[in-house]
Amino acid sequence: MSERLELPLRDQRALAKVLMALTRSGCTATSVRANFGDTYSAVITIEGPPLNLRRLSAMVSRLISTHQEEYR
Amino acid sequence: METTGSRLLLSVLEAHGIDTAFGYPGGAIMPFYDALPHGRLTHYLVRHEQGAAFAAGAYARTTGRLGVCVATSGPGATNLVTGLVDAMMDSVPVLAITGQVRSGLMGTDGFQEADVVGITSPCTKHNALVTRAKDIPAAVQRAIRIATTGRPGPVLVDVTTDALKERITWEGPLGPAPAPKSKSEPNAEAISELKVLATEAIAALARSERPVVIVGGGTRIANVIAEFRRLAALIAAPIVATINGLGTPDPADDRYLGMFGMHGHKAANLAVSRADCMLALGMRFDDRVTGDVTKFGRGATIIHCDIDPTEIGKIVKADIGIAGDLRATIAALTEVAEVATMPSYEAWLREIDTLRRPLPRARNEQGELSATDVLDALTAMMEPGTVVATDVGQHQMWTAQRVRLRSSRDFLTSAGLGAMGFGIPAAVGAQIARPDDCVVAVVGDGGFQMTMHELATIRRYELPVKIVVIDNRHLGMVRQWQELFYDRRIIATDLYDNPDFCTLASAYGIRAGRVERPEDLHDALEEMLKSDTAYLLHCACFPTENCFPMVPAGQHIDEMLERTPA
Repeated sequence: MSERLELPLRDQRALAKVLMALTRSGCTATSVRANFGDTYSAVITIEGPPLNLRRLSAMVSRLISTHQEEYR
Repeated sequence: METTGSRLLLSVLEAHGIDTAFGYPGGAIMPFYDALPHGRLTHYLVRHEQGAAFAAGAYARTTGRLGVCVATSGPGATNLVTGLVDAMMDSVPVLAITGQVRSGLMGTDGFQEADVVGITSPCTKHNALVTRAKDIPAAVQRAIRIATTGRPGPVLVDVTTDALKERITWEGPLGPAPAPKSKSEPNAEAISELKVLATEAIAALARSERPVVIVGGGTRIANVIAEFRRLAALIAAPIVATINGLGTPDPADDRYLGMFGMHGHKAANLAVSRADCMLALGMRFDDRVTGDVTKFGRGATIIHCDIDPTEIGKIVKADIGIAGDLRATIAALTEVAEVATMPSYEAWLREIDTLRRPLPRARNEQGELSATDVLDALTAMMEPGTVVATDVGQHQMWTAQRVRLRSSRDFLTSAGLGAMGFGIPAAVGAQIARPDDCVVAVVGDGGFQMTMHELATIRRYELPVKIVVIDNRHLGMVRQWQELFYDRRIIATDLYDNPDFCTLASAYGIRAGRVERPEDLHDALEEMLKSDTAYLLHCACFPTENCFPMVPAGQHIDEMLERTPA
């Protein structure tokens, strides 16, 4: 069973970190929508088994400080 | 004020109360070193950058303050990586400052250039590249805030040489910057939710017949030893600890069963496996404690409390998850438990008592010294409040099984990463952080040789570290796995040609002694412990002793080996 996670990101480095974390998550990025304007924003959609998505989410929350500061 | 990037960096560190750093200079970081005489930062020169990262981590683990390490660009920075991963795994606040080649050289494969921000992205909580002096204060302020708040962890600030050399006028703030608004900040709704969850948790414990309290490293980070012990007394259930939780439960508490997990005490593992309710405080259900995760906690109500909400449900599904600072969580649980009617769990405690077993010990026919003899004697002879740093391997587990700690800040070990080479530099960091306390490093012959050059650091700063080398002439834990799980094919684990460790210590100007007979052990340990200066005790142990109990990897934690199968 596969589930989907949509992760909003506010800087380009965060996107790079999420993409890097995918290697050890067993999940797949199915789309990335990025907006380059005065401020950067992106939404990455990731699919994978629920447990893998939970673990990816945990990894990402530690790796992305902005994400962590907002969501911890 | 007129300043340079380097002096500004120094000023920001000092404004955050940082007075100690461990490091190793090199080309790109030279402007920072050149500024050191103009500040109050005490810099400790190590002999390898990995030692700086481990020492900074140990400094943080044993004090609760931020540990700082410094290295140059390229190889200097890459040598920090193991220490940063270790800090990431065990949630230790460490700030790494690295020099970077000048901005114009970046991306040209310049001498000693490496993509340090790229390399350390997966192993830091936050990192940043700074190429202008004016950006240094904000970058360092932010890094320190991120390292020390929420779930702590390592951060890295990579500063180019030109930014360090740049002359600027700075009138801005140097000290801690206010954190952006966070959802973790307590508000009325969160406090109310915490009370509801605490009430549910205590009710679940009160309904249960076989509860267990699991203590993790989060209790050390949250500094809640006294608070935890008060809660534990109210709940009156059996208590077990992860390796990072050691020292939080009172070792004199009858209900405390010691460490659980792969090399946990038998009663601790069986209590967890038979429990119908678990209160897990500040731990993350590492595979070394869960064993076969599909069988872990089956049928039990699991109450998981952790500051990191994403840890809850990551490995083991929680029935009640309490995300938040453990101090607030324990306070809420205590408040509810104080007025609740808790069962005495008499039958369960009696059952637990029947499960207690002495730790397995081994003897060989020649009457040679056994490692467990050494560690039994050492842990019995150490004064309360002794800081123990271990390396990684059998001796680490034997020590963790035996050590009786006054505080979880007294035990330093590379738990999550399991990095050999940790022990000696960790002892350096701990002794500098706590100069008045006795610091004992327990290391194996393998791990010791990974970072033994830090003996020079011990000598230079006259640190009275006591080093116990458990020498079984093997990479003991790997040899044990080869014996148990690889049909006794002993390959590449034999260290028969170890150097003479006493001569080695003497070469560094460190006193040393050797013990190889059990009857000489007490006197040898006594001489070491009473030494006012650094002392290395070489314990020549027989090589085939295995560490038991042991749960084979992937097995359920009640499936313990207690001796080597025939």
